[in-house]
Amino acid sequence: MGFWEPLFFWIFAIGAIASSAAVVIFRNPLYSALSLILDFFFFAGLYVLLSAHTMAIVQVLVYAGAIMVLFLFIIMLLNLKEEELGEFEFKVHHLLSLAAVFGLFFFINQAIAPIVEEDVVSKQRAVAAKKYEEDVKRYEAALKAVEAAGDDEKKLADARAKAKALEPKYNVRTKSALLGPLYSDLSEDGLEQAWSEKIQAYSSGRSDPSQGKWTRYDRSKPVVVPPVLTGERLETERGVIKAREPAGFGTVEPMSILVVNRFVVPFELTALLLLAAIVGAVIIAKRRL
Amino acid sequence: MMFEPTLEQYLVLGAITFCIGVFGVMVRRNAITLFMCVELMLNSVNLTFMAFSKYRVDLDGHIFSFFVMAVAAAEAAVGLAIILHVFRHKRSVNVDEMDRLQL
Repeated sequence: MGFWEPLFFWIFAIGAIASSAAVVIFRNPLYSALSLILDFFFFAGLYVLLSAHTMAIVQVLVYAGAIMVLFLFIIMLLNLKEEELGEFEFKVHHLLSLAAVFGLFFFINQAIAPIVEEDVVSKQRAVAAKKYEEDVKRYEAALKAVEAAGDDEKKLADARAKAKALEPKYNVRTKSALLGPLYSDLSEDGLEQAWSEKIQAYSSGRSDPSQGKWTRYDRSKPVVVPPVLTGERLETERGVIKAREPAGFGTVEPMSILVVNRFVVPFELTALLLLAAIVGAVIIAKRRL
Repeated sequence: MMFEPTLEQYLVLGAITFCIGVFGVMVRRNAITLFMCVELMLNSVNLTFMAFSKYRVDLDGHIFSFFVMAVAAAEAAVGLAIILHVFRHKRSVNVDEMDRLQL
């Protein structure tokens, strides 16, 4: 947050809107394609602001690189003449589509509004803050009861059980379970912490990235987790490997973990789809088989 | 600070670019530009996925938009091949003239 993030958000947002309008306005598809490339760069910047670093890189490499090269190549191959592009003539359906698009925009806004309505948010936050304070107060009272229980073993055990039941189960720092998933006040730090807790749960075996749906090959064998994921220091004969912090949100590591675990079947299906698309493109574009 | 980007602003930005894409698909008659407008729509949907992903501390949205990108690549490959094929027969990429299944 602070000064730079909103500034860059507005630069990227205005740039994205302007260049997407340019895609529609330019009559020559070559100019449209060039402004679409610019648009993709603006979107990549927005992804970085959303801590989606991997997706920003993929956006530049795959979209602005590979796909747009394909588009430009086809435009150059067709080499459309000025008269083939056709003159712009005003038709009634242009106005109709403009009206329809405005209707669509207001419809989408109506769909967004209940999610992000200011009152709902502030009310939810107030309720969550109150509940959080009450939870902490009750937990502290229970802890005091444990101290006050003294030597009486039965009383002590009771008080301990009570305190354990009252212990806040949600992430105390982000309070995400209380605030509701959408409106947890997320700072970059809170994001990192929540994600590293998730990664540590994966690596210690407390939970699966696949949510237990796809079992590991051999459960009896301990899974060796590379130290970069756990943040441990590893001593080898070559010296101490300085492991860094657990994997960050939106970087390649957690995404690869998810792709090969929980999303392995969609991943394979997408690969199959791409293969089919390659074969299909060859068959369609070839003159004679 | 009132200018701080919130979830709402990302969603509205996604809605605006999506609507520009829809407008392009409805108004433009050049098949290649039409495809580019579809790419624009896919991108704004990706932006919404990322926004929700960040505000839920959940990477599923990233993975989904990853797949959306792969599908967009497949769509561009096949679609452009079809445009090339039609252009060879009709010498035109105007979608108004592509009104028959048989060439």
